[in-house]
Amino acid sequence: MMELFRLRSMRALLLFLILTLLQSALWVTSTMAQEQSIKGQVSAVAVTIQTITVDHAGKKINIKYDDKTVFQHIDPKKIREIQGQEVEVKYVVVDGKNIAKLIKLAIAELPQGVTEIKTSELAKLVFESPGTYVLIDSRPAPRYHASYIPTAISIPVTVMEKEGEKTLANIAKDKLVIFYCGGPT
Amino acid sequence: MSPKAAGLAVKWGFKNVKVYMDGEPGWKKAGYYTESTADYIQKENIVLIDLRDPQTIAKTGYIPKAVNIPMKDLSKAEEKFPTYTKAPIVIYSDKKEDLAEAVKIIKDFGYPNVTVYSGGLQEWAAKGLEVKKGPIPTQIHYVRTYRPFEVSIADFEKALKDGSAVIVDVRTPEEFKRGHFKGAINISVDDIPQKAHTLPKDKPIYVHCATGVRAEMGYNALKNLGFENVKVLMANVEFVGDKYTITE
Repeated sequence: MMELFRLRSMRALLLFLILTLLQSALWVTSTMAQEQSIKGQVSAVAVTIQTITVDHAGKKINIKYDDKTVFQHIDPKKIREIQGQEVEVKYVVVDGKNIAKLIKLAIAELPQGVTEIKTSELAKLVFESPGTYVLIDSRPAPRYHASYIPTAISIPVTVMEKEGEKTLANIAKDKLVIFYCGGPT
Repeated sequence: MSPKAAGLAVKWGFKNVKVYMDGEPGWKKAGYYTESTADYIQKENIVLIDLRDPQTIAKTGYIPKAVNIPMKDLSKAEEKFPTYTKAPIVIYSDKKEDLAEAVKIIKDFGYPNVTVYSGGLQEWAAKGLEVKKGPIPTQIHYVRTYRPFEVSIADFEKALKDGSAVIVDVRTPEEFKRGHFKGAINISVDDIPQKAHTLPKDKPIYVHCATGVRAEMGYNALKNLGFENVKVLMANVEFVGDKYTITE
């Protein structure tokens, strides 16, 4: 009788252990498969291994894409073109690899009262009507020094935010003011 | 960045605000040149080309570190350009109409990072900056600056000979089979999370691929796994038979 009881309790204990293990295994897989969402600049694209590198919070994270990845505002055939652009990526971690579920190009909405100017229109101004507009490069100063659009001046957006209205104080309020940076972000 | 700046301008009462969404990359892509500042020419490791006639330069002097390649000789001067095609190149002239054509010629040689200093010597001198007199060099000597995480080709080749570093080849196993460095360890970028723990930790690790793109990705992956002593070979690597070539 005693023997049987022991056997039964052992069985119950074993069952309990197995269940706990299963549960924790399930928990581990579910956390591993949990979707991560990050925003950052694409610093590299390797088409051969279908991988992009996203700079996020001081880290460079490699993320793979595949046939199931959803692309937004991006032509998957021209994925190289997202290099240097700002993206939002949703991915899961499978066997230590980051697999993209979604890669979305961040397209900033134009604030109210602001319109877009196209290359041909800007070129016409730059080459034919200098002085009729102010062209402002919003990127960090070192980027401006290395390569700027002719006639542009440098006022990084960070400086405008920090120092306020006085950064544009010597420009007439009705002057055409054009801002640009490193792409549609 | 620019939409945010435009929003601020509107808030501050500007009535006619536009954004050029394609930005600096879009401008270059459309075939137009961009400019560099005097500050950039002074401080950075660049190739500076003076496109004027030697006779004019003899009279006026030139911007320090400039090399003379007269505009009329430029299209035949490809072999004078550095082996490192990503070298930043800045050109100047006294004929503004030459600049666009010169940029196009140099881009066609395979150097995408070419910009102009449109003010030329006149603007440079007007800023009170140093003007050099005497004979101007006619040969480009460009020594590339390596970023802290890059290994130079020379150091990489030294490690191949003396085994002072672990060479990690992050190309695919198929590419590795077709040719690789003697003693190199093959872990493709995709396999790094699983296999990195097998790498020795007592030596520096040099990562390479075929061009440098995947090598940098491999470097990122190793760094994120806690490897500290890692460098990347940013160069083109090719294997033909049992021979290899490494080019910038």
